[in-house]
Amino acid sequence: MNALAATFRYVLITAIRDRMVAAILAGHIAVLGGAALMAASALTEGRYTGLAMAGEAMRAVMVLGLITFISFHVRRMEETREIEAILTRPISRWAFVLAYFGAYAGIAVLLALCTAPLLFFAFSANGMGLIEWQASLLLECLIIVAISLFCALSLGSATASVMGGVGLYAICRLGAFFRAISENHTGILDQPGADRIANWVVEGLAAVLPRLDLFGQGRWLIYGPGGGWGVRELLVQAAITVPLLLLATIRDLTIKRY
Amino acid sequence: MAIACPRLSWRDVSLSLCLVGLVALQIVDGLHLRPLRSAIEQMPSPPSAAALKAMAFGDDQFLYRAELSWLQEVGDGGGRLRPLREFDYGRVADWLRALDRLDPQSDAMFQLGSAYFGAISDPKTASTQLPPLIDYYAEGGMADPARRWHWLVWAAIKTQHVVKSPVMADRLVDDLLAVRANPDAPAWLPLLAPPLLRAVGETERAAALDADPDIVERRRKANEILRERHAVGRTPN
Repeated sequence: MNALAATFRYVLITAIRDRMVAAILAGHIAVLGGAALMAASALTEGRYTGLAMAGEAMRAVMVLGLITFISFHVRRMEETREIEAILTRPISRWAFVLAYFGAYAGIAVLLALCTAPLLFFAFSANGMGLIEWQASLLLECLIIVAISLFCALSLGSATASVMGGVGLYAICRLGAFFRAISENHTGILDQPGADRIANWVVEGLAAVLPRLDLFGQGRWLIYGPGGGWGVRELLVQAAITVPLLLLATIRDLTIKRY
Repeated sequence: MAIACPRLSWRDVSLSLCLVGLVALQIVDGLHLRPLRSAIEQMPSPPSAAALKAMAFGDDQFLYRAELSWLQEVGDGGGRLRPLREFDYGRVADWLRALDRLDPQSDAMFQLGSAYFGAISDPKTASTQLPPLIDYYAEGGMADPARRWHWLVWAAIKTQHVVKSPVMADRLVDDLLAVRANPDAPAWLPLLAPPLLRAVGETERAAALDADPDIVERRRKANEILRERHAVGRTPN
């Protein structure tokens, strides 16, 4: 418990020193400004336009901020041999990964919790829709932290880690698209055999990837909960994805790197 | 008190001069490029349903609002405005149809299409440009006349006063009369049919429709409601 608290404190201090906290908060404020501009210029339903824009852009700020910070922080720890020093102590790989995941997740949750009040003050977002959207963003951030930690500890460079994390996130956000392709059996080639293989690949991707496209629906901010799924489905998705990624990270750390 | 003046080497001076020279060059280039303007964006055909799914990245509402804002601005750029008469309205209607699939609850497509694209002041241009929009609103209104009855009203009014096409009027009259089977749609909606027929010269059919007992009854009820609302000082819907 002490180790976890110390790790959290250390990561929080690093995040503040690296201006990560300030950058994400400034990003949120800038997003609100941009969304307010879009809302003001909309011919109709300006508040809805502002809400949808701000919600999506805040997600993007959180995701990019977390992936970048975690990738570069882990890389710096590797370069300064900090990880090796930590692992020489009587601390297991499991504890190391879980402690850092907990610390990054703690910061992510704190930053994500700022978004709902901002949306409330800027665009009068309220009700169950806002609560559902906020809960969804928290769960999404946990998955992003797990993806970033996996990429940062598995890949050899910060750049590769950022690109890997962003790429993985983008593919996961295309879940509905893959699903649509596999359901419609969209033939893209002239040869039926190749088409079948392509459909299997798409079907496989749709089945394996976490459905991040279901998270953070702008619709919830505007019309309230609904649309066929809610926090329960997202909770199940996060409960499967986060441990899976953490296990993969621990395995990679144990077998391949240290 | 003497002010200490740092000694500058030739290298520092030449570096500073290069810097100033490059800034000056940038200003000259900026002035040279000043008359150039970015091209006005053309309205492309709307993407397919699968492409829209990919573009949405899972958040249909965000894409809907973003595309709506884009549709509102498309064609204007570099400080210039493209007149509405130069737009391909078939394409505008296709875009509205595509966006409608992203958020069927919103009424923003109607506001954008009717108050912006539909607001062509020149009657001659309007009569050639508006038909695709009218078709779209008639189609959308018929899909849910209880909620989107105002789409049908707009289509009927524009056909009656601006387009005056007998073919379109016929189609709309059929739609308006078919609404009678829907108990949730406003009961007065079919009353728009006779004036529409008169506007395109089908006076006999209009008179026959006016004499239809169902239309007579609907008119009587509508007038009654109107009188009641006037009596209590309320604005009629």
